[in-house]
Amino acid sequence: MISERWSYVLMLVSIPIIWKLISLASGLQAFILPSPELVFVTLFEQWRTFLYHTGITLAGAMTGYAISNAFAIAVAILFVYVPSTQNFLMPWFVVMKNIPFVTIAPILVITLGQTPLPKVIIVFLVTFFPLLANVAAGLRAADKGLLDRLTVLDASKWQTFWKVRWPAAIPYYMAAHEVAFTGSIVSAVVAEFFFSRSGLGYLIVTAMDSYRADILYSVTLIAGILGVGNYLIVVWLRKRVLRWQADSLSASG
Amino acid sequence: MSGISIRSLHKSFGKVEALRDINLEIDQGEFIALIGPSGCGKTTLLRTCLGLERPTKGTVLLGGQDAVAARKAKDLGIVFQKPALVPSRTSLSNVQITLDITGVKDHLDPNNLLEEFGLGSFKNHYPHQLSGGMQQRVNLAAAMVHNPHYLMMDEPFGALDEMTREMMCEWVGDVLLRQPKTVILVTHSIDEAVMLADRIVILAPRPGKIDTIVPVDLPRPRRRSLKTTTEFSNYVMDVRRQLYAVEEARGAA
Repeated sequence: MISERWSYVLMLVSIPIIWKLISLASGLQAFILPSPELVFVTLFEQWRTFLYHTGITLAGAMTGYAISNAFAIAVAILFVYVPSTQNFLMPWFVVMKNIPFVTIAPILVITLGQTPLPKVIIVFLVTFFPLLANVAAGLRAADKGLLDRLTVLDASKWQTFWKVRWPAAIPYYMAAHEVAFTGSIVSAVVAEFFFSRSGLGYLIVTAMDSYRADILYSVTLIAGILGVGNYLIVVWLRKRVLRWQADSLSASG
Repeated sequence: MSGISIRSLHKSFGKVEALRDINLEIDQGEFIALIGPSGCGKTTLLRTCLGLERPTKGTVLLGGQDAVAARKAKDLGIVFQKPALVPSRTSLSNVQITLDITGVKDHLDPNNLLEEFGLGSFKNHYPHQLSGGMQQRVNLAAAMVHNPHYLMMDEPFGALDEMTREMMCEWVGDVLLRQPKTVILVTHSIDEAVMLADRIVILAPRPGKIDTIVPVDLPRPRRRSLKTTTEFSNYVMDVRRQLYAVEEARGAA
């Protein structure tokens, strides 16, 4: 059987070939379906531009994502240790979670203007809830017998948290991160669709206006590389951090 | 003195009466087995002795103090049916946690203890790499490493197969001969109770109350071969008769 590593290589080789075949067979024009070599040339020639806009998008996404992580972990801890806070905050969260973020984006942009702030807020709104739900579930998933054992040993709340609850939450946290990180890139790009002057989302909007399909494809490739890169980092982390685990959890959120 | 004194103990959960008027004096170093049909409150009784449940009425005193004081004195060790181990820590580290939490100075050496428990070559294994019997031995090591006066076990061998169970019984008996403790064991197995206990306390259900107490006057160390003797069988038969009587009394009521 073919190993996973070689399957990846095979896929990387196949994509441009299939792409080229489709563009030849369909006879579509370059402004609708650019050939792979045209996209690679565009990426190569304008790499500074792409790098700049990718940096803008990543900066916004990562700022929002970092804030989101900090808040999600803090609120999850609050929920587990002061359960009444959950009852109080849940209605707010349910509403915030269920308003589609694409409808909030324009509102934030007209309110806050051309600052990175709307982007950061949208990334936060999109990534906060899956992280919160998973980390809280992970903290609660701590073995009851183990918690009793620590109680009987007169452990402090601090000791119980670091020795039992937090380790129990890590697999859940990593599963949530795998999903939420991609979400942070997606939401940052979408936020940039509205009135922004930089970022991958801005590139997409201008490319649409000028029929530059090669740029659209380039941006897609870049976004794909970011997503896959994160996935590979998560896989690597999981192997390192969760080496004690019999089988790893699959993503949820 | 580190005996256990249970005086007119009542415990209710809402309207459900779990324990009624339990009176039991356990001597220092004595091994008590609690046995009875399901719903007789044996686990509740054990948890009340550990201070994990509060008595509705009456008192439980461990060496003259309440359970919380015994907890603060780091004087309790517990083993449940499901091994309460941190999955991300090795055997040695799981035993070490007890010392990290209790900060007890006069403790046993975790390395020696694991070797003594036949886990010398499994010190650096993670729980999922160990068999059920091995996990329970790690658990016992973790429950004894801080040298507590009291050891409480809730069906510690319930999940093990018959042969492993017999070996664990023999082995726990040996360990306790070397390091005497006041022990309460909750069990479903009559064999196990006769094999280990100084006195077997038979509980009747709904509400849980003490039905009979059977002293077991067999010499120690008790070996598996004891099970083939008439003396042993007589004890088992006696306890079984009492248990049937308890069940029948309930059926008649």
